[in-house]
Formats: sequence, C-alpha cells, structure tokens
Amino acid sequence: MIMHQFLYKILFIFSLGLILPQMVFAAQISFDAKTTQAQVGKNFEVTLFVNTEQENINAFEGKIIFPNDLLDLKEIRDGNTIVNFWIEKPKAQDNAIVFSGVTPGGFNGRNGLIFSAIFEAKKEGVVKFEVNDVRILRNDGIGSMAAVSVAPFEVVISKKTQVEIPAIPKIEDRERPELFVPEIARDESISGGKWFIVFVTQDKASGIDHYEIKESRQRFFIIFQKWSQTESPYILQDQELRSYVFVKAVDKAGNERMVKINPQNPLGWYENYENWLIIVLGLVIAYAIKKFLWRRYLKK
Amino acid sequence: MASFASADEFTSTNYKVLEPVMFSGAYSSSTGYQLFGAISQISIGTSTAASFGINAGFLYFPTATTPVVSATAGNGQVALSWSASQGYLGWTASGYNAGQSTTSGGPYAYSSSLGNVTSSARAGLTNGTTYYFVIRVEDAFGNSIATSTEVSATPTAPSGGGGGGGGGGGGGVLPETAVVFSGRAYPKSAVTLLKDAQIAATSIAGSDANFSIKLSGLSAGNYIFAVYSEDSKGIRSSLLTFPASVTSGATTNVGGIFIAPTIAVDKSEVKRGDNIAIFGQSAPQADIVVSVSSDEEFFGKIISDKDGIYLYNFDSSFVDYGSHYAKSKASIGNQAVSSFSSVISFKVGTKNVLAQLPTTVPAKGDLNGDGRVNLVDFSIAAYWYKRTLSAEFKPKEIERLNGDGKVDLVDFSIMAFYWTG
Repeated sequence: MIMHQFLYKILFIFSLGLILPQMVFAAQISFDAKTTQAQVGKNFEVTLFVNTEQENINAFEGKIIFPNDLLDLKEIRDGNTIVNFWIEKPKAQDNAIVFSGVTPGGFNGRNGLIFSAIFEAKKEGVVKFEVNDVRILRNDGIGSMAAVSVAPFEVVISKKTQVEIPAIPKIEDRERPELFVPEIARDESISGGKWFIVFVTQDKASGIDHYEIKESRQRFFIIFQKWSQTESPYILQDQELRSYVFVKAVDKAGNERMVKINPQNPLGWYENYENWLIIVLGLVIAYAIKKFLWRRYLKK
Repeated sequence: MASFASADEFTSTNYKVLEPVMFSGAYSSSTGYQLFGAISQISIGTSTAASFGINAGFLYFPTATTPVVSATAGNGQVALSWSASQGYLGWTASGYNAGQSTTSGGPYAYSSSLGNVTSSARAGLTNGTTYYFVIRVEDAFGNSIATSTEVSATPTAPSGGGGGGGGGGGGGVLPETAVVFSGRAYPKSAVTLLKDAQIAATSIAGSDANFSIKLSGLSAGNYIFAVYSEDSKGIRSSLLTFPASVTSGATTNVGGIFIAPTIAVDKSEVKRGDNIAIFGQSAPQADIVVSVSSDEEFFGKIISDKDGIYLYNFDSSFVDYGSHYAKSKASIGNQAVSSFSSVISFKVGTKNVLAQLPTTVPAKGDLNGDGRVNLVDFSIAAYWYKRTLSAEFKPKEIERLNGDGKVDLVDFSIMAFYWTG
C-alpha cells in the first residue's frame, strides 16, 4: 500500500510538471494613425492604444520617443481615455511624451485609448515611434507587472504625398466638463496635517485643460476675487474652513464647469461684514424712503 | 482488498468517467471509501491550452465569464459593445458572435463570427421594433463557450428636422443621454455604481438579487463603469468594471452584470484534517464553485440558498501544511457566469484559530483611514509620488501600500485594485 501511495505521488508530481508552461499573454501597446504618410508643414495625429490580451490591467506608464528634428508636438488629446486618473498627465519632455495613470478596477479589452498626439511634420524623413520604460501592471492587488509588447510604428514624411492627407478634425465641443464633487480632507502626511481639497472631472470631447480655484469668507464679494490656476490636491488658505471654495474645470475648448463648496464652519451673521453692509445699506434706503414720503406728506 | 481500484464505472449516453481512483477506507478517515483524485483531459476541440493542467475532483471543467453587454439604439441600427470574457482552465475567449431576435428569449439569428472584438454595429434594423441581442463567446475553434444575458434596444428615427415651410412652433424636447444598468448582486444588498472611478449612484437589489440603476446627464463618449456590492454581513465584493460607449441623445442598456460572490472563512488557521468553512453570498439558488489553491487546485460545488448564502466545508486533509487561498464564482444555468471573488487566505496548521469576518475597511490603499479608497487617497499618494517620504508617511506606505519606501506605479496599482470610490 505504501508503494502504491508512493507511485501515486510520483505520478502526481510528474503530471504537475506538465502544467507548465502555461499560455503566456502579453498586453500590447500599439499606435494608430489615419495614414502612415505625412506632408511637410502639415499636422497628423497618432493615437496610442492598449490591447490587454486577457489581462486585467490597472496602471500604465511609459515614454514615447519621437525625433524632434522631424516633428513638432502641437497638442495632446485625452478626452476619451480609459485612464481615469493621471499620475503624470501626458506631456512633452524633450523628444518624448511621458505619461502614467491608473484605471481603478482595471481594464480588460481591446483598443483601449490612452491618448493621442498631434504632430506637425517639420521636414522629410522616416519617423519611428518608440515606447521606452513602459510598465503595465495587473489588477491583482500587488501590482505585478504584465508582459508587454510594443507594435512598431513608422510614418514617412514627404514634401508631397501620394495620397491626400486628411485634415485633423477640430473637436466640436460645446459641452461643459462633467459635474464633479470636490472633497475637503486632511492627513498628517501632507503639509503637516493642513486641510486640502481634491477634485477631478472628465470632459469626453476635448479633455480637461486645467482647474482654477478661489476661496473667500464672503459670499457675494468673492465674485470680485481673481481665479488662480491650480492642481489637485490644493492646500486651502483658510485652514479654519470658514470660506466658500469655488473650483472651476476648464476644458480644452474653453467650456467651464464651476462648483461651490460651502464652508464647514460658516461665519456667524454678525462676523460677516457683508451682512453689516447690507444692514447699513438697508437702513440708508429706508431712511431715504421715509424722508421722501415725509416730504410728500408735508407738500400735501 | 486492494488498496486502490481503477475502473470506468460511471457511464451514460452522454459521457463516461474514465478510471476514477478509489482508495481503501483505511487510507482515510472514511469507513467506506474516499474518492481521492482523478486525472482526465478536456475533450479535444474545446481547449486552447498549450499543455494541460491537473486538478483533483470532478469539478475542474473549464468556464468562461459571461460578458456585460451594452446596447445603444440609433437610426435603423443598434451599437453593441461588451466586456471581454475571461476563460479559466484552458478555455480562451478567442472570438465573439452576436445573436439577434425580435422575440425576447430568442431564437437568435447569429452572423458569422465577429472575431476577437468587443463591439459591433447591427445595421439594417427597423425603426420602432425592439430587438433582443445576446453575445456568444467562442473559443479558438469556434465552439460556443459562454452566452451573455439578453439586452434589448429599439432603433428610432431621428426626431425633428426635415419638413419645409411653416414657421413658429417650439422645438421638441431633446432625448436624454442615459445609461440603464441591470444585473445580479445579492438579495437586498446595496449596489454602488462608479462612473470613471467615482461614485455615481447607489441602489438596493431586490430579494431576487436583481438590480437596475439609471444614470442620466452624461456626455457622449467612452466611460469605464464599475459596480460592487456589500453582502448581508457587510463584506464588500470585488469590483466589476466594464467599458461602455455613450451616445448623445440615446439610452444605452447595459445588461448581464453579475457581481462575483463575497467570500470569508471561519478559521484563519485550521488544524490539518479538520474542516474549514468557506462561505459568502451570491444570487439565490446559484451554483457556487469554490476553488482552493494549493500546489494543486481543488474545487467544490454547492448551491446558494434562497438568500444567496453559501457554505462549503473544505476538508483540510487534502492539502499540506502552510498557507492556502480560496476564491469562489457563481453561475446560474448557462446564462450567467460571474468572475471570481476576491481571494481569501487561510493557514493549515496544528490548531484551529477562529477568523474575524473581513472588515469593510479595504486591506490596502486606504491612506487617510476613512474606510474607503478614493480620490483623497489617490491625491495623498500623488503628493508623495517620486518624493522622499516623510517620517509620518513612511509607516503608512509600509502598512497600506507595498512597503518599499517609495511611492511609484505599483502603489497606485494596489490602490486601484482596492478602489471603492
């Protein structure tokens, strides 16, 4: 019987060895463009996609290298990206576009748009787009690295192309960025426990360009206050949380969405000089009316 | 008596179980016999595995999750999109096919395979007629390995426009841009819907676990939606995400959402040879497959009760001393197969140690300790991204992130996994 158990174990261990190698999948980073030809002096758009190939992935980062002697980066569009939060919003850095971001809960699918870039072709040549330092992480709770393959992509720039290069459509965006709810929080690890505000929203058409903020303890006079451009998280100036805070999201087409956060510790009515001004103004008006009516009465 | 016997004792007109292995009663604690293991292969043509796996028990059949399907009506057409199906134990979703019918429940007319894509436009439809669609998942050989729940859409001609002459008259009301989500959670459980990772709506499932949520005021574009639920004990499910494309002025129906079961164990350490209870909640009367991962993977199957509660007693004598992991998935007929639940760990040792119920506080990622993982935590992590950590933040990074003394993409990935919105 012991012999049989031994043989069974041997058979089992041998069989386990056959499990491997499993099929290996690799998420694929790929580029796409309407055409692989470009004309000197004209713009063309290149879009970066990810095909997850059965993997559920939730974090992306990388660096797209392009020859800046041949190309001039004009614009980056991320309006329909699968990335919900940018850690580093795609931006130009010398001859590269660096990006990193996350998709909470993960993404598993094909042709997941990361962002697109519009370049102007400066002179003739062959443009090879490369992706360096690319990392794609699995949605597995430990951030393990998924295997990644990058599909090579080339664009040929000529003085005159054989096919007509389609013009890049201008984004018709009349919609405001989406409604959002900023949140005020504090944490000992940020600026010594100071209160800060966090916010993020999306604009599906043209993408968010920037955010602006202003805070004031006065409800009405805040309209005379200037907006200042900011990023999330923003350390609040009023650490007593007695101010109204306005946050404005501006998309790349200039549409704006403004939200107001009421103070957590509003001023008492007697502490707000606005109220005193209103009272004084009211008294003055009442006095003027009374005087006016009195004069009319005397005339009669 | 032989210490074990091999035979092909189980036969039917449809299948035959070859060579089950029986061990003598003396080998185990059973007074009769114990079926210890079986080795077989998946029938040819149904698996794309490059090699084969070995698992104990009769339940190691391959499965594929049923896709979450979106249907958006247009003028004489319906745009379909769906989440990618996930295959297990050798099955790989290699293509999809759309079934179409004007009768709910079918029969459905299928086109030729659409290939490995996750969207398709069904054109040539009659405006005003309601169409019902299912998405069939196919393996590399074109076999159907899963079929989604049905979704419907009614193509409509664009309103207004056209017509000459006439002045005045007010403009019509623009149709709203909305998405209706429907699926299964747990009976009377709270369901939370995230839109691009931020809480957009909550709802309570019915006693049959079905829920429906309508979200309006959206812009046209691509969204990542996600849902999760909390069971009767407050245990949170894993997050189920699916991309959906929203069209301006149209209502998109998203159907076939099936939230994975919750899972817990009654012991954090079980004395080898004793049972450990693996339990949780899913939809009522669902087939629950519990998987225990060790050097090999063990499967058990039970049916949840009318409240969706399931309980599986796993005999720890099957596995060696050490740490093991359990997860579960649910299926209802052949119409809905969930993804796997979160993974829960337990230890097989020399004593029994009762386990605490999983807390509602996420195990990782909650940097400000408010019981949630959301934009605030993301912002705190973003603040420390590529910076030298302060003395206050270092212990948090160790406890709630990956503990490597820096904040980088891996930490954000951990937060994204435990995200609650």
